[in-house]
Amino acid sequence: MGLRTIHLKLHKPGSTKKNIIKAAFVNYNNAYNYLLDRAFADIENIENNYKSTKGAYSSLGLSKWIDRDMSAELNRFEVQPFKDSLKLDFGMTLASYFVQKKNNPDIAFPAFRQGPVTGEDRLRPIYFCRYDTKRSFCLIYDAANGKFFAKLFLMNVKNGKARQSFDFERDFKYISRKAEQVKAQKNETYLIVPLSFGKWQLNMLMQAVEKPEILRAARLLVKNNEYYLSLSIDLPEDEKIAAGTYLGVSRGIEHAVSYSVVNKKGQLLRNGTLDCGRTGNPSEQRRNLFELANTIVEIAVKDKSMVVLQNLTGKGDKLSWNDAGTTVKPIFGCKQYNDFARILDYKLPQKGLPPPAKVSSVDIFHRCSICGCNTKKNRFSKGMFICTTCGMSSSLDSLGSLNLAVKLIKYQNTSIKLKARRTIEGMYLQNDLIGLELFVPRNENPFERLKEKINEISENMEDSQAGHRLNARDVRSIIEKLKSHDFTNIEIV
Amino acid sequence: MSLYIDVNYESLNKYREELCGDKVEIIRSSDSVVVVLADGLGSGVKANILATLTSKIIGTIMSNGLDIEEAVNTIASTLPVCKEREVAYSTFSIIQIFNNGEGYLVEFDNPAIIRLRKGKLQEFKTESREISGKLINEARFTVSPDDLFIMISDGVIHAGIGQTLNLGWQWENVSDYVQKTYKKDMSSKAVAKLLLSACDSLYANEPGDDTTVVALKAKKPIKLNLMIGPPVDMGNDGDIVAKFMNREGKKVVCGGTTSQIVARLTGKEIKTSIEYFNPSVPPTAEIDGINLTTEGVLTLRRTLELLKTCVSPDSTMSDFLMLNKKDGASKLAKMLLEESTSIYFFIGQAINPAHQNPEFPLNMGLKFKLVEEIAGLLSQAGKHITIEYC
Repeated sequence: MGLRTIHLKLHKPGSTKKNIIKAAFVNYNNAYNYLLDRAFADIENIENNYKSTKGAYSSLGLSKWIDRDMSAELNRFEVQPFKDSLKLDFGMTLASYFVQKKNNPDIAFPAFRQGPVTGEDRLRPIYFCRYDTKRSFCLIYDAANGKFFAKLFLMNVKNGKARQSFDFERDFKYISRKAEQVKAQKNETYLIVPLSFGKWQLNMLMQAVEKPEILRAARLLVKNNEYYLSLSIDLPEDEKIAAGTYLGVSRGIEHAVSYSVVNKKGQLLRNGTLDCGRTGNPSEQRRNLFELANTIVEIAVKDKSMVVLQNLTGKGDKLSWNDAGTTVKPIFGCKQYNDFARILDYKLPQKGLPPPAKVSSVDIFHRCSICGCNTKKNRFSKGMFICTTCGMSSSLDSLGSLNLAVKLIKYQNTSIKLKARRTIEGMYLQNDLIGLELFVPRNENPFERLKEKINEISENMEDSQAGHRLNARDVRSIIEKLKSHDFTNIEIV
Repeated sequence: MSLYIDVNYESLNKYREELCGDKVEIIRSSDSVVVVLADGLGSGVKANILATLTSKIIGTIMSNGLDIEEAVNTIASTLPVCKEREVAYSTFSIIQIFNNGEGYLVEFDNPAIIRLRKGKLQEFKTESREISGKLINEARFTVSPDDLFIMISDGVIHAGIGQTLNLGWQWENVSDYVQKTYKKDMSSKAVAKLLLSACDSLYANEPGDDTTVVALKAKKPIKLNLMIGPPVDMGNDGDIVAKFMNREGKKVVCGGTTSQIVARLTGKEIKTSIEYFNPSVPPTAEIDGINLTTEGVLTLRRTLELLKTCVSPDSTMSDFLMLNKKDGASKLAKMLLEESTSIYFFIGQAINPAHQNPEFPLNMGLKFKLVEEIAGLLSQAGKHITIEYC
């Protein structure tokens, strides 16, 4: 399944506990803002000197910019219980900033407040970088009552509270390898708070009781005056599923998405359309998107499908339709479809399926799935396709997903075109895409010479880009396709 | 002006019906072609009888030069009366095109005939009159080369109703579609087949009504000359090739030796192509002044297969699309079927030394048989065929 995040609500913390949590939030945010403020003044140095030899930035590497003096300075914010987490959180923020800056040099530095924050401000979640029974955070299980608790280290020694009673009424055990009994301490720098959650989360937590090593980092968040622990769990991956079919999922003009499942020969097995409830509420909209993605995942699992999606980051799919001066737009805009694709990006591997392939969708709503005729004339109306060459008709939504589903099969089956010119001395073979330029004397076998030459191009590809029009990845892809077909997919033009 | 009218029709039976309730009658005479499309009331046997009687009666009367009034009166008094509806009813459309370019149109309750001129819709100016209680629309018009006429039964405009399209395919949609698909060199068979394929697809392959499309394409006669095999007497090579080259129209040479003879006698070079588009068909060659140069028997055999498939009543649009391939047989079949109206065969009777080997599977008889079968199919498709053995 991979890394999952579940949200667990801190169940009705009393006023004392609430005050401790609020204070921890304020302290954490002040310290975080302090670090960003300092980093802003030294950003060029950080950017230049804290990247790896390959030019990448890591959270841990960037956190090392915080030297011993600055680390000591942080103590004034009383962040001792989560200082390591704070440094990593700061490192993550800068790493993300530098990555985005590569694509967009004008991107603004992460926002931070220069003055002290108050409990009324929007507060950054407190990051807990490790699962540990003696620091940061951990979970406690009361097996007799089936209850779970969070133990959060939020105070330093100075602020710790003295325990009056040393007896727990319940049988508390840490969720850890040793499953030790929870014992009270004289001065406690942590809170133990009951958690509330649903069945889905309970299932994950029960897995954690069996395998505590799957528990990872967490964040404490505040939302509508309630506190939540956002917990990362590294669940074991589902067994890998060997994809035996292709599932094309395209956006539609009459329905949110359309799907088609085809076998490896490209024959349609089933198809359908799915809608996504429209609402003005963004979080509800997002939930609908997740539900839609879950449905697609279910179909993909059932049919053991490799999912093929539209690549809508470059050229569009020309799905909008102009009807008497009014433009009819697809149900999903590019952003919404890309959000949907991002959800599938991780949901499919979690189920053991390959990650979705994203392919060009330039022609999927104009190309006939029977004869291959590709013209705008084929689109008869907003939602109707009638081929002008063979007469095949289909709803536009269904056609798009079907064309997507067969794209990879078609790519595998397309031939590689070679220009050939015969002379008295022999034959010239040429392909600009892979930089092939070959003369075969008439007494030699052109096929064998061609194989040798292509192997030569393949071996020397890393050394030189000269000669071919495509980048190395595309050239490699073409050559691999040739080799996988044992050079039989060549067309002489 | 002398016109050749290329006429073809295609029908779909209503789902689960054995007989079609639409009937087409094509009557060719020396000066005109009359095409009648009749659509009988209901479906199945009853509709088929009504449509057959209507089309036969009208076709016979019109082709004998009698008036439409006579034809309608005859129908009104002849057609059997339906027990359920107590009417004798069959809608019809008639089009008569004379070789001199004059045209006459009659319509009764059928969807209007679509006329495309240079690919654009051109509506008829019709006049109405009542004959035997039936309101008949008539038009007289002039036909130009490349005019395309499409007669349709109401099954066409009902295609997709309640299935893929809520309100079916309206007449405007059909005319829009045929305009979009119009190609100057498309044969009437391909036009009819394409429109019918679209209807079939809209009906999700379960037609809700009998559906018929008749396409008429006016063409200037296009001549094609085909030379197959060397003349039996080598001494005649020069005369035969000169006759072949001097004939008006496109020229095709089939056979390796024949090509060499033509090239030698015309003083042109043969350029052999190295492209193999289809492993079962040998590559073509190029001779300046010859439209197509192919290998002999293997190519002709494949050409025959293609023609058989396309001319068959069961042919599909994808069979016609096969003609767009680049191998010699596909090119030849396309030229014969879609790009010519009149074909002149020069059949050389010389025996190929290779064929004298008793183990060689081909013989002279096979070549003649192939050519005769090809000629027969083309004649069936309405082409004027002439064969000269040399």
